Amino acid sequence: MNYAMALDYQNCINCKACEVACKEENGVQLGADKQRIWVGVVEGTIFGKPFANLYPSQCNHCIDAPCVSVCPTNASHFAEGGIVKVDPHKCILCKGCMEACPYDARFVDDTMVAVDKCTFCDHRSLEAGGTTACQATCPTKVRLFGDLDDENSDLVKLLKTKRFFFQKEYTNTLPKLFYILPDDEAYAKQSVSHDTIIHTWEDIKPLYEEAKNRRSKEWKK
Amino acid sequence: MEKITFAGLEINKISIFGLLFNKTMLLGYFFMALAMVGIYEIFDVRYFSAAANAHASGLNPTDPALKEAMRLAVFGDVGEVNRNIPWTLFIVNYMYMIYTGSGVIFIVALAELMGFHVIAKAAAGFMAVGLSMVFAGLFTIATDLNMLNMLWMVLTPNISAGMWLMLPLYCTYIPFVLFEIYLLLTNKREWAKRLALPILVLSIGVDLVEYYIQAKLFSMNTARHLWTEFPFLTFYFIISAFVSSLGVMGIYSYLVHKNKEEYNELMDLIRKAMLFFVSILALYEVFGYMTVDKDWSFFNSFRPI
Amino acid sequence: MVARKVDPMPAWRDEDYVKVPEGKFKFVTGRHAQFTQSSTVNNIMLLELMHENYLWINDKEAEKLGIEFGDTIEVTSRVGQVRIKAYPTPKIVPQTVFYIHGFGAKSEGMTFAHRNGASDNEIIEDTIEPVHGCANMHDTLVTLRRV
Repeated sequence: MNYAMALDYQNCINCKACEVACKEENGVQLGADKQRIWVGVVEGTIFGKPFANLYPSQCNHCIDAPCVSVCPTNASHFAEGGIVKVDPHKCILCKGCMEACPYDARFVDDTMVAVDKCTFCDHRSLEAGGTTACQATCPTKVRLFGDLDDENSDLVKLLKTKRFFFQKEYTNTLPKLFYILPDDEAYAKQSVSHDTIIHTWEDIKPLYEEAKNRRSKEWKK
Repeated sequence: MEKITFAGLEINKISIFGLLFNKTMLLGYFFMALAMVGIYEIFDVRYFSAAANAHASGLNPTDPALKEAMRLAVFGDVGEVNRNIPWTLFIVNYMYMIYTGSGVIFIVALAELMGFHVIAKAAAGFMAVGLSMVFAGLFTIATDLNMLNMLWMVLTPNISAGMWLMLPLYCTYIPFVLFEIYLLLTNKREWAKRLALPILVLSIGVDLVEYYIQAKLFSMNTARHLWTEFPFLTFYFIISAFVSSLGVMGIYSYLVHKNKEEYNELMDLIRKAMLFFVSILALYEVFGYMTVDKDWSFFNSFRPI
Repeated sequence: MVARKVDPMPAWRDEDYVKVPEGKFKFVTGRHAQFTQSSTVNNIMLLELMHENYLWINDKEAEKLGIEFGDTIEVTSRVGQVRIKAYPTPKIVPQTVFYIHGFGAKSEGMTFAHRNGASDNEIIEDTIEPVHGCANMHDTLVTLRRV
């Protein structure tokens, strides 16, 4: 089991149904600052012509997660399938993980007095084919949750046919949100900066398998 | 004045009333009252303020307190920290107190080793100032952390984390400095003199280890560009701590040694050392601006305001 | 019908086109993906995504008028006046202003949505489109004033 998610972000319409679904499913604290998942918006103009790019995002569940290695009490840990989770009873609120996370995926949940983050909805019986609330609710099918180890899963089938990139790959944390490069070349050029590295499944697979074998000893059942 | 001798220390004998109610202690009580206000505020916002989660309205739809909490969550500000600024004024104060305090201790130890007799004579006082600043820093961080879960630092430690290393660090550092001060004050000169040099060298080692761990901890703070990368951050912390601790030593000398004959010599020494370390720090900053992140430096130096 | 001077088929007449005079703006309104008519106005989960509407105004025009993001703007039409915060953006053409429908509810029974932002209904003129008989939502002329 090595859970991951692919995001066909060109389909995103910024309806934020995923944010609401996540809050309702997981009982997340209310407040605009308290989001487990979010839609990143990049706006600008090219020669006076305005554009907006939408990057739906959440915790990347990195294989080499910096938030886990800085946690003093092991409250941040890897659960089964490489899901990065926080044990709220162990969190001493040092907020080191919030500083260490390159994606700002964590926040302080004041109802629990602990740091909270995306769990890939691991209570929704993922092994039996369950999926995350954000994928289930998305009206334009942006998100696809799946298992990287299973060659027959929809996720790997999709990754084999498409090219993709990662957010902030230079931090070397091996993130597991795969952003699918749009087929439309013009849209792809506009939404991906020129120094972003584009990957294919063949070139990324050995790297991720090796990293998984290295770190999966720490994954708790 | 009458003296009590206790374990080789000579202590002035005064009444309990005189100990608790004097000018210095009144100032102390004022600061303690301020600290109490801070603790009250953080506990109020953490455990007693209204915070609603997404399920609450479904469970109890008619509760007016819940309605107010939801309104506050959506239209106002909620919670103790913002996700984009996780480390707040508490950490700023913690860093200032800890670095300056241990910087004072470090500088005094260095000065003793290098044979500055003026500093060596006033060493115990300086070290006490440094240690009290370290205590103030630890108190600040204890207020900021969730102390209820502190037990897990011992039960499930992650010994490679910089944050965890703080625990054994200060558990050894504080008794160590206390022992150092004891050695400076005691009148059992014989063995105190014999121990002085090894303890001094050891204390400099402990100081270096302390800054090393602090750098390991704070290098994860990627937004602070000039702090460069661990382990170079250690040297930056040491130099900047020296600058601020020399300032504190200057104030302390002004308050305590003003009417004594060593005052001028002491101040002269502090002034020179300050100039030296400020110029090193300035060089470091210039070097940092030029090498660490050029885009960021350019943006900071030439952006339109 | 021609004898009664009524067009048998809908026809374009130039005089029906509302031209925007200098110094005035055409007000248009609209919705976005999060709110559905007035039934979701008071929904706290949706208000959390966006709790207040902003007046979109072309960024170059805003610069000329000295309007910055967050400035309170008084929008005045022939029938009403509202106050709302400004959002200069290149996403809107000049001489047009826009804010999202469904905010600034008058009713105090709307516990969360009461007077959050501005209501478009308060400034839209009540005219009827002659061809198909709908309300003209996008024909109101407004003036802006920085408060």
